[in-house]
Amino acid sequence: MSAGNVYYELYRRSSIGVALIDSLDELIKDSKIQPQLAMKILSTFDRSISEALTEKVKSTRLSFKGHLDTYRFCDDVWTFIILDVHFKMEGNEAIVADKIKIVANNVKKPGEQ
Amino acid sequence: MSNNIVGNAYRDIIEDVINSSRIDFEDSGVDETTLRELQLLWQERLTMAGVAVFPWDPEPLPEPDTGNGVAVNYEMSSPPLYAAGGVPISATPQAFSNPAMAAMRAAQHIQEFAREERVPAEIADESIKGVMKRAGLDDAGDLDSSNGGGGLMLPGGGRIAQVDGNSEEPDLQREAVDRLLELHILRQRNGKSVPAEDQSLPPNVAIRKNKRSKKIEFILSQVDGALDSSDDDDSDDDDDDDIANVGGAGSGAGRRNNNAGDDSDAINSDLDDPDDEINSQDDEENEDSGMIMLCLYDKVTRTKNKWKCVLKDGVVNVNGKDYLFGKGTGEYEW
Repeated sequence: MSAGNVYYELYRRSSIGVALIDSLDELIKDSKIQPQLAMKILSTFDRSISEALTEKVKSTRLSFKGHLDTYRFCDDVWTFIILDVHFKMEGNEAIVADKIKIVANNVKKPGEQ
Repeated sequence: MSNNIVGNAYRDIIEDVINSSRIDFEDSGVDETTLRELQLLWQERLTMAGVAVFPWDPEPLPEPDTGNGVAVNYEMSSPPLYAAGGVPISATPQAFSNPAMAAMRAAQHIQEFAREERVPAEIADESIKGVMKRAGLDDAGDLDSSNGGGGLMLPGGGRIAQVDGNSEEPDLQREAVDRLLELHILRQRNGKSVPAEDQSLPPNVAIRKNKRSKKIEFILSQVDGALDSSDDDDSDDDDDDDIANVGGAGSGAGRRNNNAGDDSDAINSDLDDPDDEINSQDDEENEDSGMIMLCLYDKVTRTKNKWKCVLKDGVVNVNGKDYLFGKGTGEYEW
């Protein structure tokens, strides 16, 4: 992982990432693919979703307010747990949630300036 | 509405990953059909998660059937196994002599249970797959492993493989459903339809009772037999079990030591481990699965107790739906 662009593995925890991991697991269990191949596919996914978010949903905005319950900054990763969150999506769609956990990596990847 | 863009965005990601992985598949000597299978599995899981409306979704299905062709054929070629009112019609012995048939019945039962107990359809489907596979492939191995004491001894000398041997299996619910199903089959085999509330089984059926069966009650509120001669031995375990649920790993470990002394059935103690793990995993999952925002931060600032953050490229799961954003801002006070 030293050469070329490195992508965060952060999004593997999203619904689409988890769905991919579960599917790969199933194929591995059925001996249809090797774990090494699955790792490669996951790396491809890291790149693909990062690019998709950067390029395709660039203009989509979201804002939210709430009460910060927990904050943590460790290894350049912010984790917030926010209670009573009010989201405002694009087009003034509003969503309320009791609780959300935010895991945020630095926009600047390690080594980038 | 950023939920509307999710379907197409995910489709693009999936297609990109699948297309980009083609060469990796070739390099690994894996057939193209497997790649296609991966795509279908992936899409299917997203559909089942229901986080958005996807372009590949057909008209909304009444029931998320995972394209289990075998079960469908079975449905078509056989009359329903349940009469109206859910009373099981006692099955012919031949049906059980064929493991494939049994597995199909199993699939039906699982779906029944999934509906009754509101087990998520995904779990039920997984367990259907498990049953199918077991009947087809792993039959012999399971019989061996169930010799250790976890198996169900049937009056005719038959045995239904009771695969709870995979103690590393993290998915207790799936196993729980399996187990319920097997008990159910057992009851039918004995020619009686026993309502779920009725705990008694024919006395000639010996069931090794273990911790897992109690866990099933706990999770699915499905009653299980107070039915065997070893009940007395186990009755104090019940209490211990409850304590373990509350007290956590520490008391669980203590109980295991006790069991080692007075219970020769070693499988009991092995089965405790995944239970404890599952409980803690559930807690974690409640926190982690869903209601999560994964993103990048540009700036995080704080003035006194007021926080502001500027976020980018986020995937948010709120209230069971996914949302994407390119730019996000959050304001919250601690």
